[in-house]
Amino acid sequence: MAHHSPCSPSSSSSSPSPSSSSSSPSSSPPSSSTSSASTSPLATPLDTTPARKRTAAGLNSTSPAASTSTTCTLSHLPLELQLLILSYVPYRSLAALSRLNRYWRGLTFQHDGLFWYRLCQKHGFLAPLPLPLSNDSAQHVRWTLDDALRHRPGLSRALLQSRGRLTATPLPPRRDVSTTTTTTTTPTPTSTSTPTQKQDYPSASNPTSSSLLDGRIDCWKDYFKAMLLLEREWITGKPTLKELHGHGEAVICVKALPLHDRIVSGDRLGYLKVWCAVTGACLKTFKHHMMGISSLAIQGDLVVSGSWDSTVIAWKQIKEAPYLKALKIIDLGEQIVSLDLDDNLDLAVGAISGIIKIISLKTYSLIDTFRSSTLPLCWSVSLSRTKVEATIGCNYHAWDRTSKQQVGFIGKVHSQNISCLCVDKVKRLVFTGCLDGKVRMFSRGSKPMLLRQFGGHRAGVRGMTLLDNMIITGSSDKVLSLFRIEVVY
Amino acid sequence: MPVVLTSSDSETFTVDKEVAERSILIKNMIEDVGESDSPIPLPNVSSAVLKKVIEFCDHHRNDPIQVQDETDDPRKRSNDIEEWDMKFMQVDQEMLFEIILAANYLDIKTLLDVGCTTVANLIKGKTPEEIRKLFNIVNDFTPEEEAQIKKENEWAEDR
Repeated sequence: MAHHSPCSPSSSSSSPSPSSSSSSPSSSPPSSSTSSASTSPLATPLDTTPARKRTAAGLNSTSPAASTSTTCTLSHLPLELQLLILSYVPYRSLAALSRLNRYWRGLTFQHDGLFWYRLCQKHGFLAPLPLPLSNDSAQHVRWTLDDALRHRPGLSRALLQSRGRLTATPLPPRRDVSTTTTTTTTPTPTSTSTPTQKQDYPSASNPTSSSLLDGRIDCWKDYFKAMLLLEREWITGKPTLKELHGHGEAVICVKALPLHDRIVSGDRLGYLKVWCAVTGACLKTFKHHMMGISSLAIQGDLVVSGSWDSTVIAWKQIKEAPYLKALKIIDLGEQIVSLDLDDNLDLAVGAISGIIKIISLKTYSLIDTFRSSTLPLCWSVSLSRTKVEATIGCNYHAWDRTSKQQVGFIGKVHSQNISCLCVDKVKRLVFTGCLDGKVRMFSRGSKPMLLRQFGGHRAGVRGMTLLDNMIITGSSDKVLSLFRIEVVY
Repeated sequence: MPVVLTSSDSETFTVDKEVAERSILIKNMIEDVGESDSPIPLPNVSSAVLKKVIEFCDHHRNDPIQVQDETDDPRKRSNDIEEWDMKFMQVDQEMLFEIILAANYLDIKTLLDVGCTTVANLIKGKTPEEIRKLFNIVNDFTPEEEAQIKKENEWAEDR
């Protein structure tokens, strides 16, 4: 509602003015003023007033349009209404509008309007806002760009990793930047300055895309662009492969810690390693579990590791060394095969018997139990507020948490057991890691469709995680693989 | 009790109060001044536009007043408009923008919404050249700049 209440007086003043003043004077002064202004000084104040008025009365540029018969056009709407209309337009049209002329370029691409924020929201590029505490007060809560970026520290890295393929060159500097609004008040004898009556945005001369080159995101438009490209590349981009060596035995599980741009992995002997996602260096190794670490889960700054020694350890992430701090050990009395943690701190534990237990990490109490009708054990689980997804044997199952109905199934694609599962709720993708050494990407829905396959491991995939533009997998071949999807822009 | 409105060209319109009060501006005016027989002057709205606005408000007189705030899920907002509204908006460009200006001035959220959606639908799917033609916008880029900007925007246009 912010757009209309304060603007009605300004819109009312500017709306009649184009029809009365600017339509005819805009065409006449160039011929009359240039001749008269140089001869008689009296003419100057008369000529300057409409020019001043024109620039002051709303940012209605492209005066040439006024020479046509229509008096009320898109260009003559007050700025706030033009911006409002932009918030109704999809991004492709914003790009088209930015190519109309300087004024619209300024409006769409340099002006960091609310409409880019809205587009980010519309495309699901922003995490849901924390719910307002009271219903009446916090109505206009919005992400700040800084906060949104803090939630995605890997975004700049993802941009930087692709910079080798960037091709952007800056726009040639504008020749007539200095001769804009100032020249209209003091008429210059050069008649060539007349076509420079367009609006001038302060930042209109430097293209914003250059900041993306440095991995910098300065405005919502950059954020939108980066996220859009990243998302698109998940489907079509070319993956590159980087291998991290360090584990002495099969890597069973791996998770990204996006908070500090790190990776954590667990192996068959119970070693837990923390890696830097940027350099790939191993930062720290822990040996807290007696047997192999089968699974990891993260939520916020919490990390949970589950082991064949039947225990679950809850860790807290720390920015500095030693990077992880053990908080609590829970013994479940049964070998743990898989784990997931939702944003309510409900932990799903898949046990060797095929039972899935839901435990609250706030109260450490058992909430619910699910079990599959087929015999083979449940290798991996994924939990969201509405769904429980699990891979059991060669199949993927999804259940609704409230109705307990099966709402999704993948069978007959995997020739061997599915060892790990990642669900991207925003992109609506399901990734499966399989003992045949491949990662497969499916659409997430009631009828999942195979979209892509990633190969490279010499043995079965055991653990997998997603981080911005990367799929990170751990395998029985003792290698941690980073499939990086390159962003081209 | 009916309300009398006067347009910028001094034409008077008598409308039902509930129709007039679709405009938050008029609603507030009536609340501030109290009910009276004297006409409400609307110096920024011509009679032709006011006639259209009243037609819209009359059609939507029974709709619940939308209290839509910005935190609403934008994914729910679609660019679909009702058939009646679409027909209503089949006017020439000048009238369309006049209606948007009037809706903004009179503070009629639904009409502003329909107006902006209509403009957005006009723009959608069009090339820059088509949009320029549509809205009489003059290209002031140099050919080199134009090529440069085209290249810069490829990320948003290709697919």
